[in-house]
Amino acid sequence: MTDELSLLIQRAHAGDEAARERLFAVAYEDLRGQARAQLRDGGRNTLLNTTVLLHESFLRFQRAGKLAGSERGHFFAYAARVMRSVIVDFARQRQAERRGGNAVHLPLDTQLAENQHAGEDEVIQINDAIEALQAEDPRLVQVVEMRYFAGMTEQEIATALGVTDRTVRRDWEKARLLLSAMLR
Amino acid sequence: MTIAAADWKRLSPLLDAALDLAPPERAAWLASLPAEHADLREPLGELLAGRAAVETDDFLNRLPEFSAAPSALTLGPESIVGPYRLLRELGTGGTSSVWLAELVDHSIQRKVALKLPHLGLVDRGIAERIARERQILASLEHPNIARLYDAGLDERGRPYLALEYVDGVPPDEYCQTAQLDICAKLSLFLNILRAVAFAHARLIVHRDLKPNNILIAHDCEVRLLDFGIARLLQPDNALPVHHTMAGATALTPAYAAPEQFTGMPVTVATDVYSLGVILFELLTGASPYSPAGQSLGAYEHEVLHVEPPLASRVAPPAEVGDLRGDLDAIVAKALEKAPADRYASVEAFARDIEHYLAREPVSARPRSFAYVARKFLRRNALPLLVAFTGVLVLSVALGVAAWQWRDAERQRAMAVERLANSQAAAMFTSTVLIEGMQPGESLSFEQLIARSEEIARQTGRDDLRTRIFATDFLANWYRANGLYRNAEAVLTRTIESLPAESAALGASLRCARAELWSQLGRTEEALATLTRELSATIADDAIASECLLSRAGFALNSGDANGALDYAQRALNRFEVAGVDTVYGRSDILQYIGAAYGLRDEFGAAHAQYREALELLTAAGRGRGRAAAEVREDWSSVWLNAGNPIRALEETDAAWDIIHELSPNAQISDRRIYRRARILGQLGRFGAAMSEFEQARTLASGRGNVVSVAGALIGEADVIAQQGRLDEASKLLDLALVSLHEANLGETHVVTTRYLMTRATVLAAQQRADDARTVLTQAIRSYESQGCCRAHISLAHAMRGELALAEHDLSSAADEAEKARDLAPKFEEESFSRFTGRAWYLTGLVYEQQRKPREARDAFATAAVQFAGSSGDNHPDTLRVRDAITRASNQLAMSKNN
Repeated sequence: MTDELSLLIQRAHAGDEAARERLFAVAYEDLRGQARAQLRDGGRNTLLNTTVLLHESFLRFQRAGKLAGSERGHFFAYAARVMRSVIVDFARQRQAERRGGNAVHLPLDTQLAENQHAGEDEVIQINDAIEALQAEDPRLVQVVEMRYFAGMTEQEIATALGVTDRTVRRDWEKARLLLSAMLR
Repeated sequence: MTIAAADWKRLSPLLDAALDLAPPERAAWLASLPAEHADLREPLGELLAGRAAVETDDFLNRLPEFSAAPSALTLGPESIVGPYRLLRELGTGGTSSVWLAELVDHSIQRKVALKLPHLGLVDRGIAERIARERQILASLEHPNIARLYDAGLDERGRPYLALEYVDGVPPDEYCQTAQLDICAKLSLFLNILRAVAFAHARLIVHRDLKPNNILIAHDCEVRLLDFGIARLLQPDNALPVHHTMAGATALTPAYAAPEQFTGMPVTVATDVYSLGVILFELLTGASPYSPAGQSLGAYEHEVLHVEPPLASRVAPPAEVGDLRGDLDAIVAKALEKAPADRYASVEAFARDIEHYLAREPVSARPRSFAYVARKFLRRNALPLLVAFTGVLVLSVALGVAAWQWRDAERQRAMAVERLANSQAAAMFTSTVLIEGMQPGESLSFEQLIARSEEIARQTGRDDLRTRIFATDFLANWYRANGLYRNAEAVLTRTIESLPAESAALGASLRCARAELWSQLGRTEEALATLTRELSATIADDAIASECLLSRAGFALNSGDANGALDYAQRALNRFEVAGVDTVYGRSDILQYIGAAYGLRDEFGAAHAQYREALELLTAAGRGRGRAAAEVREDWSSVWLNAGNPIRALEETDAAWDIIHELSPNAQISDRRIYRRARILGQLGRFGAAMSEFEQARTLASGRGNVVSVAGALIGEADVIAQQGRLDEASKLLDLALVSLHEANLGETHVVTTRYLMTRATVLAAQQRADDARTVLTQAIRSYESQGCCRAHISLAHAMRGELALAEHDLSSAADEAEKARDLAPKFEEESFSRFTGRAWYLTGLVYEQQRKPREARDAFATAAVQFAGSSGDNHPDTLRVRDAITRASNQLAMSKNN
């Protein structure tokens, strides 16, 4: 029981596919549930704050004794991938609802509706773009996941990936250049 | 798209290599790629080209915001929105629906009007805007303004606004039911104006005033609804209506002002306009516009291009008599197309109505006159009516107030910013103030400076930035106090002691020293340094901004107006990129931009910069600090160059007040004393001017500032010449010329040209017309080569015209008069100007000679307004032109009698 997730992380790290999938499933359930709760929460925090989600999720697992504090970096790296998945699912669901015609829009609001939809479309486009990059440059994909989808800082990313800040910064710069060209 | 994911493996290392290069080297590198990579040249170029955009915008910096799914949002009684339960729908409009609602938990027993913007109209920034504006709007407490109790987003991410529920009827309906007469309607309208004025005083513009937003409650009290709400619901960077249609910009076409259609800034004048429409409707029962249809486009055309009829034209016959004249004029003034032509404030609007009710004269004039006269003024022809010119010019001056509001909302947000405090500054402060101090011990200012000097000197310390900060602090302080040598010494010492590997850090100091040199007349060294520093790529945006600003300062000192503006604006760009947006830094740059505009004779634009700088400082609580004093000093120069010594003196005195308040024993620098002396001289206060010129000259020569010495001598010569002591003046000018040579100023330097103008004045007074003309031509050429100082060129032409007139060469004089009028500051430049006065005075003299007494009188009257407004009622120029008016009036009377 103790350090259950830590163990999964170590095994996943060593290349154990089953461990990786199990890790993903546990984290996905947790993050998705929390994301929904956050959106339902009413009051001020109705917008999805992925950074908060990620840190809270880590703390929850740690308090429950499933995760060692030293695994924080690795957990974040995996959780960022989960976060990406949660967010893309949200965006797809939203797109589907839109196509289904559930949302009511006034005739004058096309421009603004476009703006709102642009967010969902951006998420899906970025997802597709890094999907295509996965085989070519897995680290770049990880940096995008952590920076864009999970809102992690460069320092956190560097720790999680075991590289220097400078490398992260350079990767991120390249990723933005590439993605901006691919989305253009 | 030329980039495919599959190419990335090859692209990635090449991109790394390119990013390691300095940007200017990349093109060459790209061109030199080996043939095996030739196919990657295009995608690499594309990637690199995107770099600037990616760096400056926040592409991918944040995840788009997600809120709950917008489905299933049908509302009905008993629906819960945030903490509220809906009771019944009060109404629904194009932008939102409004429900009567109560708090679910009944913690407060009151019913509110819950405004729910249609979801499609809500943009992503709304949460942020609500957070930002809620406090301000909630604090708007006035008996005639419906309160905003609460605003937020509900569980579905949908915004709601809880407003005071007012049970009442719109004013038009009320007036009809109560059968009010004109006076009662106006009294009611005044109550509306007072409530709007209250909000304006808190920098909140309504933006959507219309009868439905003004309710008369059962107690007969006026209640304004939705104050500031339009702002809340509109995206920060909303495009003009054309681009987003009514979607983003909440706008009610029948009451919207022209600027709301065209996307120009919304100001208090926008509310004045909407109130004008409401008043028109209250008085006449009809709308000022009759568009071909109800479409936005039809309204837009009417509002932008069709002059509304006079209120009396469309009123019921019984009302026509009361409306014709003053009320027609009042309504028309509120409905002017150009914001600057309307009442400058709601108070001014209210005052005119009060005057009307008290049967006193109103400031607005019937439109037919105003219209014709303005056209005349634009063509620079003679104004029609003497009294009338005064009123027009005054109202232009009042337009200043409207300017101040223009950016009020943006500035309010900026004022919230705290002064950035760098680590070096903290280190410097703690060292200078605390280190080695015993409890209870206090520092004198001299000790403070000495300790700063110590820090600046301590080469042993490894914290270079702290030393640089100390040096910068000292140099600024010395410079502001006219201690140029000390400033130069401290800068030089630090610059020379910087280790070679940290030389880049010292760029700002080297640039500051160069600017100082340019002030001291050491032009060549200054330019060489600045050019060298700027040609090196400065990586640090903040330092680059400082160097660009020093370069702008150099341009200002040498009268290069366009260069100054260009460099100052570039400095602002780099400053903004640097992201250390301190109030001081920004106000400093605005000051340079203002000075550059001033040098280009774009006085309106210049004043706007200074006003913005002062508002920034004031909002940050620094309105009475040293920086504010410097802004005012600089502004004073611009007023002086615009030919308005009265305003120049006001700003200088305000600045000196601040300086003396901060340090009672402060020594004012020679440059400042010199400027004040010039102002006093122009105001005809010769005694005071002379003593300050002498003071400035003594200080300047003691401090090795030859330029100021020359300037002071020229000023003294000018004052003495005005008193008729021409030989003495001439001798002083000879002395000044020696100093000018010593300073090695170029022929086109501002001070050199000032010398020429004064020399010409003396020569003209000595009746040496030909010599005077030659010198004037030289001065004009020198100003023109700098592309600056149109106002001064105007003066030179006026002087040449006066010379021609003395020789009875009427046609040359008329030519010169026309040129002088053309170049003098325009009425639109927000100020009275003695240059404009001089041009019109000459014009009057020409008409007088041409035996056109009516035209002469009108021209003199225009000149009188300008002189009185710029130099004072009792200034010799004002008195002289008043005599001329009397003379022309008498001639006019005589010619009529004959």
